[in-house]
Amino acid sequence: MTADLEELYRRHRQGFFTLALAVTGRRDLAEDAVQEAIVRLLRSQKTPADPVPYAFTAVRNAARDLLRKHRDRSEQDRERAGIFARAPGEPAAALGAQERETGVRAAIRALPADQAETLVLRIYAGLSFQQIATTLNEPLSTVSSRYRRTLGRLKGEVEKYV
Amino acid sequence: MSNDFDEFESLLAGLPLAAPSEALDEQVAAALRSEPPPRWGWATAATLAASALTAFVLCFPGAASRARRPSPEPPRRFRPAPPPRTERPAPPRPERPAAPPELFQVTDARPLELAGARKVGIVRVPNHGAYYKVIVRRLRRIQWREGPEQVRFSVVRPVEEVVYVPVPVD
Repeated sequence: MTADLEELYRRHRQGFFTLALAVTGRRDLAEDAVQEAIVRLLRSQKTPADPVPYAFTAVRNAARDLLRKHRDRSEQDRERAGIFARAPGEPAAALGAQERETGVRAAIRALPADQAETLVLRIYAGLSFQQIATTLNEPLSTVSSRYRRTLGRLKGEVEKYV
Repeated sequence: MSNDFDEFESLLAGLPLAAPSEALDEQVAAALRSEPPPRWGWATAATLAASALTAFVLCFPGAASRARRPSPEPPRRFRPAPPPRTERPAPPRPERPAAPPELFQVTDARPLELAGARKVGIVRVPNHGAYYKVIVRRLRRIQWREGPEQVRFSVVRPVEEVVYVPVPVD
């Protein structure tokens, strides 16, 4: 179990962290959430058929728990940490691309929680729609249509910047 | 449309993500190194005890019925009568706050402890100013149940709407 979990963490480390960051909006809480989820998985008695969505569910739950505990502080910190690294200065030739990227970042930050989580799980964690549905405990069709709706919304927002 | 989305997906996927720190890797590695507690819980012990009892009953079929037979009544012991109770005047109860409405919006809840599947906490009722002890169950709604100072509620609304504040409750 420990070796499996180690392998799971190694493969999905970035995905776990990005999901936790999307939920909490704070780097420190996101890291705490991932660690807490790993501890919970270690103590878990269950042997799920597919451990990947099970682990992502644990990360999401831990992140939500921590967010609830620290909600007052998180609300005081108006600036929510985005899921992206800070972009280095781009050369002038790539100004259009930079504006587009800025637009994407802003649009993703403004997404509602369910859409942001679906997007992160699909694009940045590389989960299948079935795995996302299991992680979020929602029907496959709901997840799939929400993902398409999110992409459409993001695309519309980004085009405003370009 | 699909091609547009594919292109847009690849644009999203190309954005550099914020990476977790090395401290997280170290903490996770430390957690993984510390072996989990052995899977020897009450459930296992109870299962083994039950199977041992079954085997015993199968081997000695009369034992179970003999065990159920009532034993001869033990000699009664003389017990002195308890002293008569002195009536104490009840301490004055603090004045009860007015009951909140049957369904209300909980804005603030403080976790106290985990009791099985129930979360016990304290909620503040808006426009009421008082804190109440609550039992929060998942995927239910909060509803008025009973008084007086510590009021119990069952939750009939999604628990996500209950906001927990990490202030210790004394």
